Amino acid sequence: MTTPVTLNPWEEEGIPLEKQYRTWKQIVKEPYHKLDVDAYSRARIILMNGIENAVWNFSHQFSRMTDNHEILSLLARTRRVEDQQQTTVNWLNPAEQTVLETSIAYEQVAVDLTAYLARHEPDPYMRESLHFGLLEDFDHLYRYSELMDYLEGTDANTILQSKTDIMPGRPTEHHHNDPEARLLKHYEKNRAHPISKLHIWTLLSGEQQTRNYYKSHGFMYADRTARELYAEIGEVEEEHVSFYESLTDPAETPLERMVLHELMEVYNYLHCLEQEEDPRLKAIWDEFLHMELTHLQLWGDMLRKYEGLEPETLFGADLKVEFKFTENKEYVRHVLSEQVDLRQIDRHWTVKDQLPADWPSYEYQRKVNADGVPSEEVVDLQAQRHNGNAPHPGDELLERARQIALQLREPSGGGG
Amino acid sequence: MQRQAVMDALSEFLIVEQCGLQLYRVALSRAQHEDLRHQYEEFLAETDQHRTILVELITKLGGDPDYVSPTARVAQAKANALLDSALLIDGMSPAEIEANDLENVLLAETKDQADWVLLTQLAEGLGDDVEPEVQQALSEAVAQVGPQEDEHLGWARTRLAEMRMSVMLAGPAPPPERWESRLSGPIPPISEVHPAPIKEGLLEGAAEPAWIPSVVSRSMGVKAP
Repeated sequence: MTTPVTLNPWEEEGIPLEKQYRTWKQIVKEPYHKLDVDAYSRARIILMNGIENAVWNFSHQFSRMTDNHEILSLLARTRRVEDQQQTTVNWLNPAEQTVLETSIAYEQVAVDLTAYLARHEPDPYMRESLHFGLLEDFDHLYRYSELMDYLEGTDANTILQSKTDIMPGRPTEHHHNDPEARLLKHYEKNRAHPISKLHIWTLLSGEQQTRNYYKSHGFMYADRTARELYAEIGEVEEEHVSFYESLTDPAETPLERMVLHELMEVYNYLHCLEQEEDPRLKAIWDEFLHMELTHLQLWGDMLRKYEGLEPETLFGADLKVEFKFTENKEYVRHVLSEQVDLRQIDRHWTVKDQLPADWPSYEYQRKVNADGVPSEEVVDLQAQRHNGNAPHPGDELLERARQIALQLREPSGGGG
Repeated sequence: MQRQAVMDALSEFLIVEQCGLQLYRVALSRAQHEDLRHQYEEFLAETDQHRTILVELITKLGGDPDYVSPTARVAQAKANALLDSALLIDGMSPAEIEANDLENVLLAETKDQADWVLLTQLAEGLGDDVEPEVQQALSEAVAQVGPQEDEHLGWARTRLAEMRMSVMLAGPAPPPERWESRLSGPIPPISEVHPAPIKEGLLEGAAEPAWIPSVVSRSMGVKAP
């Protein structure tokens, strides 16, 4: 099957739904090798697992809100396929890859996904929302890199392959906000560019997966610092889910959202197929893309039937692939230099020096950071352990990042 | 008389009264005009009576007031959709919210009044196979409730028109804060809400217009991106 970079997803032929169920042997593929796989091949696997889980989750939510048998039936059938796809994709991750190594890869996905989406995003408000989240995930990558060196003695670059920088971003201790402070303006469903919707729903799916991964794996470490760091960053990912979902229009109907979710899958499998160089993985993306095309068209039919609306009217006739996993180091450094001191307030942004004294997030940070901040404690542990000396190759870079992290600390600690 | 069809319809009409009661409670809690509050209180009490009358009628017909027919479930879902409009009031001024509540009342009363017109026709069209006491109960119910439903609907239509005409002709105009949390309408440039927007390193897609023609224009044939 050949796939153009631009396609009409409403007409491109897919795999018939009745031919999409697979055997256990077909569902479970051989995993990649963690040291041989291309970092961005791994990133695609992590992203698509998150997207499959998001669609699975939405499909269940939708099922719980309808008793239309035709819709329930299609939800059940497409969801079973999504579930098998999710298994295939997630089972590509090897057992040899530790939870921390996978966490490093998750943050690489977050950084390079968010950066590239921001660079393409037409709406300036949504673009700046992405930049704000970007600098937080960028910092998580650094904190986990310290933990990985501390716990496993491994250089995070064995996972990142030097495609993504390991440097402090906006320090994690400042990511803890009053819950309401995370809420943003939302797009308007009738006027927003379809690509903006795809960007936000893609990123939201990734963040939701990241939150779920940290919350379901952070307890697997016996080390107290590791358990606390996963708790701390896991909560920030929860903030990110709240943050990005607040950009979506609540007036979208369940059917509209279902079509949007399927379109998001088509969009993402399409760039996976376009960018993947490993023929084994490429074949999976090709097959799954053509499964999703059928799902999309079936749900488009439902939109037509039950809401009297052509899906092309809502989302456009052509779908252009604009995303790829690639290095964004220069771009991220530029965003970091411009925006590291930004904070959120009342659905907009300001620099930390101009925050009012009663900024609600100060109070929240005082509360959660009162007994120590795991994301800072891991830096202290590392600084004490190495005593300023890099013990093995690769640690020089982490040492330099650590010096910056220590310099970024504010004398008072806590607020801002 | 097709008993099951009648019991299904009465179940539906009963739940419409129940939902009407809920709509009046919500509208009353948010109404700012004194005359609206007064009228809502009065009609709420009457709707409560209508609910009781329907329960008694169902019982006299040998039915179960706790029975919820399929059409009752759909009628409830429609009324709930009116109530759920309160979940999408972002960007609306207090006057617009008050008008929306009254419009919900108008839509609900339209259905409610149609139900009682239908019951009036039923009372007139019942054949000899129906017991005289049932006929009498139905006739008494429609005689009492029918005129009140006409009044509820007429008032809602007239008052809503007055309210909206007043805003359109005399104001006050909706405040600019209506755009506070939605990315549509006359939002300020990004530089007004962000101290350091990124301009370097952007790719081709970022130059696309942030907003596209509305769904109306697109469905009328304006080419979507």
